[in-house]
Amino acid sequence: MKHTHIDEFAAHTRLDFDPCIKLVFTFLFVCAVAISSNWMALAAGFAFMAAVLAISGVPLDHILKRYAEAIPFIAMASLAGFFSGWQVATILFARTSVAVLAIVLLASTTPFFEILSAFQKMRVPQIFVQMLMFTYRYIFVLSDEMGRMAQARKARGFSGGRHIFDKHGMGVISSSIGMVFVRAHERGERVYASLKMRGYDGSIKTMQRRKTGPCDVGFAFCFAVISASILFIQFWEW
Amino acid sequence: MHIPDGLMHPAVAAAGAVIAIGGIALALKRINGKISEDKIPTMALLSGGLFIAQMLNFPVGGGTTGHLIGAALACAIAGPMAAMIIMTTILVIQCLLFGDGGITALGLNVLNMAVIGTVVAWSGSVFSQKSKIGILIGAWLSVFAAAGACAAELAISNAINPSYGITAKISVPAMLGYHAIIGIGEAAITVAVVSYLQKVSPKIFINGKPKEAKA
Repeated sequence: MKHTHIDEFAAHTRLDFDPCIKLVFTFLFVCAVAISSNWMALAAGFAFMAAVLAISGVPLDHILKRYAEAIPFIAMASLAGFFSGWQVATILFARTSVAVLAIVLLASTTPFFEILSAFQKMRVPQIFVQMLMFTYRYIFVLSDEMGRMAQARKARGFSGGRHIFDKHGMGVISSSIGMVFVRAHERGERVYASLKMRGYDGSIKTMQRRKTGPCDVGFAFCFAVISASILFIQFWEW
Repeated sequence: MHIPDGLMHPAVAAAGAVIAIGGIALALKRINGKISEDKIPTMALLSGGLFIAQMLNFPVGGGTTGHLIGAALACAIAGPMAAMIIMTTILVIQCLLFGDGGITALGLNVLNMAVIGTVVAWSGSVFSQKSKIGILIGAWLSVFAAAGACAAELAISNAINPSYGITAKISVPAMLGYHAIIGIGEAAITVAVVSYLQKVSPKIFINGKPKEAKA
């Protein structure tokens, strides 16, 4: 089975920068956007995001798909905002959209192991780094299992159950979930044993040896400048 | 229920992050030493399994579907402290791998689903004598409480500045109403999965298996 839906574009992106810098400066940018409620500031943020997304080489439909996942909340909030006037609603919509674009950009252009090595540099507790690494590994295996089970259910005529009190439907879904855990558990014990035998000691080792270069500084500089300008437009007394 | 960036007032997001970090720090402190190194892959499998389980939709009726949050299930299998770490792991991956849930709102998402969801699920099973009923009530309450916390955060954000969040008049009934129904699905599936696992693979329960319900 193919897993094109999980970090599909991260491995060959044009935004191949130091993951630490990417994490920190995306966070700063999102903070600046989250504070801002000025039209011009948000427009500047959106223009910047659109430019970076265009450079990144991530296909537009992928970005839109990820963006659409955040829509229920944004839509609900924007609709509710209409009670306080359309300006309030549009500002809220614009702000949330720019912020979501920034996080989608980070997520779809950074390989997960790079984020983990950044976490390790930032002294995130070891148990979390390990948990994240193992979970990431297992997601692919387990989603394969889930896919096979979904096919088997379908082949036997199961179409997803009727409603929440449909005892049979919910029972099938429950035992599918239970089965995922059972298979996962057995596999996990084997994986851990073989990791131990190969000298696993809990630390993440990546093949890439990164050095922070001028490109990384340039990336950081762009994000810092745009974040600062957003804050400047927001808080400048016009 | 994954809150995106920019929706909540920054003060609410910051306060949520502080409380969430406190909760996680407590969980880490309690768990260090109690759970040995070789249990980490097992915990990660639970988080991987829950991650996949969240992708499986169950029918709510009328063509809509919902999906598991999993705090109650993690709690029943691994205990409340490990469950907090498991849920946090899932939320971090959803944020950084899929962009599902914001990075500045991560604190709030962790607070709602990993901390509040888990603690409430756990207290449900403590207050009830029969463990199956406890898990059932705990699971429903955990979804309801997480939704309530989310609605409250939306309402507070809106009260501070009307261009953030959703007014309480809309957020509270919408979130609680929808999740009261989702919670029924969560509760039914959690109990069914726990009894299935007790039957098929009891060694999966890290904290020892919960007491058998007197049938």
